[in-house]
Formats: sequence, structure tokens, C-alpha cells
Amino acid sequence: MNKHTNEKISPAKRAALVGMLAAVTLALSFIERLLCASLPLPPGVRPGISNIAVMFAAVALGLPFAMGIIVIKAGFVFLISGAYAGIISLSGGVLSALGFWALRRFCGKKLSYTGISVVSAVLHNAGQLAAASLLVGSALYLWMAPVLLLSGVVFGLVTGLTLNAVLPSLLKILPHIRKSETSENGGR
Amino acid sequence: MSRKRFFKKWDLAIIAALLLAAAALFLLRGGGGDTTAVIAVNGETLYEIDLKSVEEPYTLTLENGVSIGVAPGEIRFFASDCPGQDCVRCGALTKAGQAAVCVPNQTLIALRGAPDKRAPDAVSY
Repeated sequence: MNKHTNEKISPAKRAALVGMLAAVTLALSFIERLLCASLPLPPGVRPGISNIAVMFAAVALGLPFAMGIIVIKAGFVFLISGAYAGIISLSGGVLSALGFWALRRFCGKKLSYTGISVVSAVLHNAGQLAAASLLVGSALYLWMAPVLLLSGVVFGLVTGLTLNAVLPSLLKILPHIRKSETSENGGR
Repeated sequence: MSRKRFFKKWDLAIIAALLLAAAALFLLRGGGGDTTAVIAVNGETLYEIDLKSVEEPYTLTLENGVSIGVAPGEIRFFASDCPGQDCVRCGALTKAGQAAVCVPNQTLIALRGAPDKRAPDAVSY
């Protein structure tokens, strides 16, 4: 479906869209960092609202472009917070994008974006936790897994519902994407 | 474009399954009861501190330069030379099962609940 979609977007338009979505992703994760300082969240838990932009990129442009944005975001984290944080960000991002793409592709009729986003958020946390556990050399996952599983479900629900809510408006602005979207998900 | 766009049957099934799994993990990990702080560097436990017996706050500086603040009932990353400072931003750990980590310095602090106060494996009436 996405191949079909991409043929209709000119390369220039596509490049501009990727750039904009990457910028939105970085801005959202920056805002989240500011907000989290004043939210009573347990240590290590973040809502992951920037995933809304990554998921939209996966819907609108396909997996390779979503991966590109994930790499850009990890590069940004690398510059701000160092190599370890960059590796952790990359690991979570890649795993969640693969999960999002696979579920949408193979279970798209049975699941809405809400469920796909929940699984994707849980995978994001799992990827980050796995990378962090390896880097720290401690059994970190024993401590963090319950909290991160629960927060993945809760915030995956939030981001998934948000994606569902904003998708119609975004597809109105980007009419070349609407066709594949409605033929894939609309009838159900 | 009805309500089905937001929730389908299988969405709810997956969410319920994941929530059950989370609940099971919380039960397995235990929690509550007395709290013992564990400080581990690179997988090796260096200190175990019973936070109940701490009377005066103090800081503990590890060999890797990370300093850890210990106070009655709580423990936190006090200072670290890492670029992200996520560990310091985590703040104080006060409840059993909480953990914070400084990945660049391979340092983990965690609060362990008393083992004998863990949740039972099964309850029958």
C-alpha cells in the first residue's frame, strides 16, 4: 500500500514531509522532557508522545522513512545526552517501529491504531530496557519490567487515541495519502 | 469512521492481556515491607543498606565518581559526571521495587522489599 502511496508524492514533497515530521518528533520529545520534570511519574517512565509523529510517518510514508526519523531522533539524543542514551533511544525506536509496521501490515483488519500503538509502546520500552540492561550489566529488567509494561500500555493508549483523533485532519492536508488509507482501514 | 476506528475487539483483548501480564510481574516482584537499598556497579552488588536504620543523611561516593545520597527511608543519585543526568533527575527512591540507573557509569540503585513479605504464589479458601 505504501509503495502505491509514495509513487504519488514527488521526491521534493516527500523530503519536506520527512524533515517536518523529524522536526515535530524532536520538538515533542523536548516538550515531553520539560513536562516530565513536573509530572509525578515513577523514575524511568516517559509518555513517549513523540511516537505520534513517528507512527504518522510510518502510516504516511512507510517504514523506511519512519526508521530514518528514528535514527535522526537517536542522533539528537546522542548529541544531547551522550552515546549510551543514543543507543537506548535507537534500540527502543527500531523495535517499536518494526512492531508497528508488522502489526499494521498483518493485523491491520483486526486491530485499530489504538491497539497497534499500545503494542508498539510496550515494544519501545522493552527495547530500551534490553539495551539498558546490557549496558549496565545488572539485571535491571527485574526491577523495571513491571512499571515499564504498565506505562507502555497506558501511554500507548494515549498516543494511539491521539493518532486516531488527528489522522483524519492530517490526511485532509495531505490528500495524496488519503486514498491508500481509506482503502485499507476505512471500510471497517 | 465510527467508534470502531478507535477501538476494535482485538485491541481490547491485547490491552487486557498486557495489563494482566503487568499485574503478574508486579506480584512476582513483590514490594512493600521493609526496604533495603542495593547499589550495584556493572552487575556487582557493592552495598546493601537498610534504609530504616539510617539516621542522618549522608552521601556515598563510589569509585567511578558517582555520588549517591542516602537518607532515612530514601536513596537517590546525588551527582554524576554523565552527560544526560537522567539518573539525578530520577530523584529519590522511596518504595520497594523502585530502581534508578546511570547507564554511562553502569550504576544501579534499587529498593528491595523484604523477601518474607512477598505476595503469596496462590491463595485458596
